[in-house]
Amino acid sequence: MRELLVKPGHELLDLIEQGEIDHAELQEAQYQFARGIDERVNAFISWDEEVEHQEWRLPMVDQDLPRQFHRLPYAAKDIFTTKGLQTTAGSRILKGYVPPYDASCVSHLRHAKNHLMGKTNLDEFAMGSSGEMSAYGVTRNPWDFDYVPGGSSSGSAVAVAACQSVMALGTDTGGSVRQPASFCGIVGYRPTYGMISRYGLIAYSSSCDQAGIFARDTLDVALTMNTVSKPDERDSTCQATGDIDFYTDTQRDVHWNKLRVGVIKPLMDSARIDAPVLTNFQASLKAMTDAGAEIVELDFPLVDYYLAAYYIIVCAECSSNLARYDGIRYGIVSDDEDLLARYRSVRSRGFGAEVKRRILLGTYVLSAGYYDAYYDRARQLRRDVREQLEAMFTKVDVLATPTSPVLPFKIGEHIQDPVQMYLSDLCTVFINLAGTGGINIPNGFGERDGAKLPTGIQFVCAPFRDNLLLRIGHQFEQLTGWKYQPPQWVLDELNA
Amino acid sequence: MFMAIDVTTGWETVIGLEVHAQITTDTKMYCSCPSVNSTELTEANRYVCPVCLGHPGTLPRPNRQAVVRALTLALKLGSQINERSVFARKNYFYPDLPKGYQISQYDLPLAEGGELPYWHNNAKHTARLVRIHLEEDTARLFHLDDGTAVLDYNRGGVPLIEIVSQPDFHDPAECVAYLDELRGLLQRLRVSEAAMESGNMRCEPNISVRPRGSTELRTKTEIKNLNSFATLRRAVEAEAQRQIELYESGQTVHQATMRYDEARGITVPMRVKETADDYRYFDDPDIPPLVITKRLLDSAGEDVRASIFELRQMMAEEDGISHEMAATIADDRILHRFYRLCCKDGHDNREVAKWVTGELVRLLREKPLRTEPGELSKVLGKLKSNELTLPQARDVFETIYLTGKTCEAVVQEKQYSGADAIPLEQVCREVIAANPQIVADIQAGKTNAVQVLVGAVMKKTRGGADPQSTRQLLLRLLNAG
Repeated sequence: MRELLVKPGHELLDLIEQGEIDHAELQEAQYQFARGIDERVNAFISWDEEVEHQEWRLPMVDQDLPRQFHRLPYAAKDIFTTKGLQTTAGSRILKGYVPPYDASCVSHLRHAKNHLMGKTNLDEFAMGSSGEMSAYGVTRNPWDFDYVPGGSSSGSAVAVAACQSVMALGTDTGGSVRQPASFCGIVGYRPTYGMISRYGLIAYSSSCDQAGIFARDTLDVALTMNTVSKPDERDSTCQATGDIDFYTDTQRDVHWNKLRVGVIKPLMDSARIDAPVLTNFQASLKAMTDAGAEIVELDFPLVDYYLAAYYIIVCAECSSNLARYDGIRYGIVSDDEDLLARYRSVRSRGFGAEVKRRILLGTYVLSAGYYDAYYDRARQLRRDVREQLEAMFTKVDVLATPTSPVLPFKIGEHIQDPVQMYLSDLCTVFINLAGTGGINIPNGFGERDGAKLPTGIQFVCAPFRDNLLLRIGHQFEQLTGWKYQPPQWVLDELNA
Repeated sequence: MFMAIDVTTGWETVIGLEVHAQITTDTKMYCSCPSVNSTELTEANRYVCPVCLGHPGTLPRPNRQAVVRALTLALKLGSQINERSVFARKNYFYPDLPKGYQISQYDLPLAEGGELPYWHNNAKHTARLVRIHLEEDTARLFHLDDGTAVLDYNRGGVPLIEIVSQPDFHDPAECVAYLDELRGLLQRLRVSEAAMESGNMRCEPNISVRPRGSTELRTKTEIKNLNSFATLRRAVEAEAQRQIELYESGQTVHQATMRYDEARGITVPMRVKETADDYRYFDDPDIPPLVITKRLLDSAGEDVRASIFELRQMMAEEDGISHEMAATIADDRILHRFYRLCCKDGHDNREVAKWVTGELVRLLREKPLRTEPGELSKVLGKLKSNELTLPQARDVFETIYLTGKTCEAVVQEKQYSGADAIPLEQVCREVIAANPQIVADIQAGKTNAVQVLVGAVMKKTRGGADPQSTRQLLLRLLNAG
């Protein structure tokens, strides 16, 4: 059974449906394997220890529904609330917090009889791009343990890459699904804002946060979307209709010779993009051109500004979103008698350095006298980014950029230099500002100090054209003959 | 007396009022927990859920019913309703605020402007409004004797409407008259139960003083946690006095939030607040702008009509007054106010309804209203205790209405005393004795001539006698004689 764990979910589902394998056995094998290798990568914070899986007793999925992510093992970033299972957001402040309710998408997956194996590691409250900012230890890149897996959904990316899980949920506020997917060599998709309910997703920056999906290929992403992209009246910003069959739609043909692919000139500049990343990106473009696609070069005048605007907005929102962690109703507590001393004690001990930095920055930019100079201008810039992207989509069907401007970096390399770390979000954050969707598809490897590390291409769609985006992602995989191959040590373990 | 301070010192008080009222809804503002009236005694922390406890990952969802009720009030006050209004976060730390911010409205409130006419000192005033917006109530914090504090989140997240006036008041009594009018309106429209004593209507005055004649607006302070009109009056007087003394001794007033110390009769600062921006307001990214559709407005308009209809039904069924009278009273703001306040003073519903639909309606046609319901209530009181007869009472009320004098003054002036105090039989005998010619005519069969005697009795009793019984008494005395 173990050797099957490298397969994408839709293939496993075929085997289950054909009666070739038993889903309970598959889940057991997956669970044992994941736990067995986790001390090497530290992808998980907690495991669902439940022996009798409640999910399996639920009624069958409605047969009239389009194909679902169904009866398969999956993992969720430890920022989705799970009823009865500790949820920490990677922070000490929530150590021991057991939510009284399930996040909407977790609940949908549960009802489709999938087994949640556990909760994956992340940069604290999703703030970070390397997986080093967790209160529960550093997560390691399965391609080379000295390198970071990217972040903030580090554990989810690693879990899928190291065959610890078929699929994993992550969140993407500035690239936190696409960048670690790129660093770990798997598919990572962030839908258009509103396509998946945010209810039960612990907020970092509410206007940029969006749940996303890690998988071995785009078809698995589509399969998962059929299960989790549903309307939700508990989230006023949710715009999912639930009436798109992503799985069928993704397999429809893309006529490359009718497709206009936009490339953003400043994001192909060797001053900004590492050479191996750029080389692989050019090769991907060539593959599409050879298939008949038209490449359209576009300018993006805001490229030097949007990163600053992004950090102002997310810090402002996080300073407010994280105010609720006061040690009164949940999480760690303090014995101090004085109220202020309590707040101080809980928040000083509970939050890590990066979270404190962002709360302070956010409080500052919202303060009297600074609001107009920072927050208000950032909001204006956000509107401008939206307009410039809108203009681009009148000329092209989809945008393509490198997902990360750099190859994975070494653990500890940027830890003292937050600005350098923020710069690694250059290619991903603008879509969060614009509220649109993006996907990382692996497109090769690059070498750094003797290490072989994955790279990825990012496709970006106009808002709510997600079905087109997935179709293009799927077709791109066909074009390059993509099939997920894990690192050798994982293969060895699977076949051991 | 407050006015005395103004006159003697040459200072004028400037007061603006912020009123918070819990909106009557089935569920809380942003979640589906039952919205319980704070007066209802319930088990602590019974009506709570992950959303109103601010659990990680939860999201707010605005309550449509609360929006419609608030619109109902805005329509009635003639406020400009913003087609697109925005929910904003007001950030501050306190244990009664589970999310660390309150979801309120800031730059773009539900409605702006509007006015509320009210009566005070026999004159019509108009309070101009700044804005009407929606927000959520905080939890209740109880400090125990052992120094600990406990929290009850039942109230946390209950919908509130905030009504902010311009600084148009100069006297606490004016504030009370305005608040009373607003309370009646909130109740009539079924927007809120608006009971100050139970805390579901609260008022925070902001106060500044300035030299009389000046139009400047000086630094203001705010007083919180006032739970009755009487306290409000004393607190405002004390705070104005404090500010005047500061200025007169060459000091300045600092912006602050004050608390009224009932026992000592003074105001004391709660916390120094630099500016309102300390709250770091920003648009709540969890709630898209509230777009007021025609459908929402229609429901609100429907509610304005429906609330009046319901009120009629209730008055007819519960108060036992005729449907016709109920309709007349419910449809008119002034009549309803007189009805409500007089009934509240303990007068019989049906008696009050008769006066309001009879005398008051007749007088309103003659001259615009300049009389307080309290005056009618006093007249009814004197009628009930037989200090006035019915015709005297009617005459007194008419005089009050037309002249603007008080009930006491009119009764004094007319030297009315109650029917019981008048020895009617003695007056009749005197009249009979003084009019032998007429008496002879009557006894000769011209019974209609008795009216002349009745008139004479009425004159002698200054209208205090009842004409019907006087006539019967006279006839009886003449027959007997």
